[in-house]
Amino acid sequence: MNPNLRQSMAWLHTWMGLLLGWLLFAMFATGTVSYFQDEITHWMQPEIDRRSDPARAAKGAIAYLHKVAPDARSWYIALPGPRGLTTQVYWQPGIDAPAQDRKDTQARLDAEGKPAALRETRGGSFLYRFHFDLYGVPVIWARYLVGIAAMAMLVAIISGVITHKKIFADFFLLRLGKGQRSWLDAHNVSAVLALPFHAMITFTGLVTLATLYMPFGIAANYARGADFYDAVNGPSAPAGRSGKAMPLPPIAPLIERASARWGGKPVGVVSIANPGDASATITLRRAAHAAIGTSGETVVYGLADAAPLGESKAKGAGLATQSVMVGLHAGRFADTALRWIYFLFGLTGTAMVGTGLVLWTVKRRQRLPDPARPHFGFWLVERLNIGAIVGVPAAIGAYFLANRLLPINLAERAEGEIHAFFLAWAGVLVWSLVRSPGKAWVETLGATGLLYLALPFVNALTTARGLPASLARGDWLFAGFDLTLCATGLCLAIGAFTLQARGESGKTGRAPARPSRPRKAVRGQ
Amino acid sequence: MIHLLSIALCALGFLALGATQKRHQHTVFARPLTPREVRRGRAAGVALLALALGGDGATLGTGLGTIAWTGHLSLGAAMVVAVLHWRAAR
Repeated sequence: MNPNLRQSMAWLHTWMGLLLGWLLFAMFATGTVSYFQDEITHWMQPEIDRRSDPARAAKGAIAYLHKVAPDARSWYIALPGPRGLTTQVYWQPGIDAPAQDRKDTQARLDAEGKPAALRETRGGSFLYRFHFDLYGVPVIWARYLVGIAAMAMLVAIISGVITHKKIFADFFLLRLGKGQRSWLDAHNVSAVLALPFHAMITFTGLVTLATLYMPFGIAANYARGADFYDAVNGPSAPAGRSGKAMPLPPIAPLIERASARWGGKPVGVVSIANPGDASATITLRRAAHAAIGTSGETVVYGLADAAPLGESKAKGAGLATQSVMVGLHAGRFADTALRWIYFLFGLTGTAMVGTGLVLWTVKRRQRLPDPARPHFGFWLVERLNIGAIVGVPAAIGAYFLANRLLPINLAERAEGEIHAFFLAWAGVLVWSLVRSPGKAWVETLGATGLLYLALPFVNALTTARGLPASLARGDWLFAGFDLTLCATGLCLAIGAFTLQARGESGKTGRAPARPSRPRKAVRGQ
Repeated sequence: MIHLLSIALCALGFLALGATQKRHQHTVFARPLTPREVRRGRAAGVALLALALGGDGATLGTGLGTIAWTGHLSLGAAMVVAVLHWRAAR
C-alpha cells in the first residue's frame, strides 16, 4: 500500500481518536453497561423480586388506569418481558384536565397492577440515556455531539485498519510487559478481534439517530416531519371521543389473538386511545425482545367487532434495514448468552478506546525533552486520560453506592444518585490534576477498585438480598450482579497493583521514562 | 449450549489458523512447518469456522445465527490470543 496513504491515515487515526476519545470512552462504557439496563434497574430497586405474567400485568394495569385516569386521551402500557418485573404505564390526561407534570402521569406497577413501592431511582435508564443524551445539556446538542463522536469513531476504525501494517500476520499477537509494544498490541488485538462488533456498533449507532443527522430525505418528501412518522407508524393522534360510554373488552383474549397472528411472538406494548368511550381503539405491539428488528408488528382493534381495524403497514426495504440495524445496536433480542457476548465486546471496545488514549501518551513520553516537565498538551492528555478511563468506572460505582446509601425517602433521591455519579467523576479528574500522573493512576484505580469490592458488602448490609442470600435462593440476577461488581473491583485493583509495581521498578531502573520494563523476558532468560 | 459448542469450534479453527502462521509456528510446534502442513492446517481452520457458522445457522436461524457467529468468532479468536500468549511466555 502507498506509504503516504498509510501515513496520512495514521495521522487521521491518531488525532480523530484523541480529540473525541474521552467522550467515546464514556459513551462506550455507559453503553456497554446498558446492555444490562433492566438488570441494573432491578438491582437498584431491590424491593421487588416477583416476576409477573404479561396478560395478568395488562389486566392489572388497565384496572389501575381505570381508577387514576378514566378520562385520559390515551393509556400506554409497557408489559414486563422476560427480563422485566414491573409494568410501566403512562397516560395522556384528558383535554379538560389541568396540566400535569410528566412524573404525575406515569407509574410502575407490580404483578397485581398496584403501584410498586420502590425507591426513587432512574436505575439503568440513566446510564442508557447518558450514553447518547449525555446530561445537563439540551438533548439535541448532546445528540449532535454524540453523532460527531460516532462519526469520528467510524473514521478511526477505517483509518485504523488501513494504518495497521500487519493486520493478518499479527492477528493473534499479544506481548505483555513490554511498554509501548504491549500497549500497541493490546490496542490492535482489542480492535481487530472484535472488529465486526466495533464496526457494527458504530455504524448502527449512527443509524439510530440518522433522521436527526440527515433529515433531508424526509424534508424533501414530507411537508411536515410528523407526516413522515404518521406514514411509518400510522396516525398517532386518536380521533375525538364520541361521548358514548362503552367499556373495554377483556384484554387477555386480544393479547392472545395478536400473538397468534405473529406466529406466537408475544405482545410488548398495549396502548388504548379514548378508553371508556365507544370510539376507543386498542393497539398491540410486538415485544422488542421477540425479533431482531425494533419496529415491530402492530395490530389495532376497535370495540365493535373482532376483526382488526388496522395492522402495521408493509414496510420498504429501507425501513426494514433501519429496523434491524437499530435492533442490532440495542441488542434487545439477545438472550442471556448473547447479551453477555454483547457486554464482553462492549468492554473490548471500551478497552480499545482506552488503550488508544494511553498509547498516545506512551508513544510521546520518550520523545519529550524533559519527561518530568512535559508540554501543556501532553500534560492535559495524561490527566484527561485518567479522568476518563478511571473516572467513568468510578462514576458508575458511585451511582450504585449512592443507590444503597442515600436515605430511601430523600427528596429528589434519583437526582441525588446522579449527583454522586458526577461528583465521583469530578473527584477523579481533580485528583488527576493535583497529583503526579503515576501516583494518580495508582490511587484512583485502587480507590475505584475498593469502591466496587465494597458494593456487594454494602448491598448485603442495606438489603436482604446480599450475595450469600441470593446465592442460597438461586437469585442469579442479584448474585450475578454482585459477582460482576467483585470481578470489576478485582480487575481495577490488579491494575493499581501492577502500575504500583512498575512505578517502583521504574524508580530503580535507569530509564524512568519507560513505564514498564520487560520483566517477563528477563525472567525467561 | 450451541454458544459454547460454536465458540469451541471457532477457537479450534483459529488455533489451526494461528498455529500455522509464521510468527506462531515456533511457539506451538518448536519447528517451522512444511508448506503442505501449513496448507492443511489453514484448510482445517477455515473448515472449522465454517462448521461453526453452519451450526449457528441451523440452530438459531440464518439471521440470529449469523449475528451469534460473529460473536463466537471473536470470542474464539480471543481465546487463541490468550493461549498463544501463554505458550510464548513459557
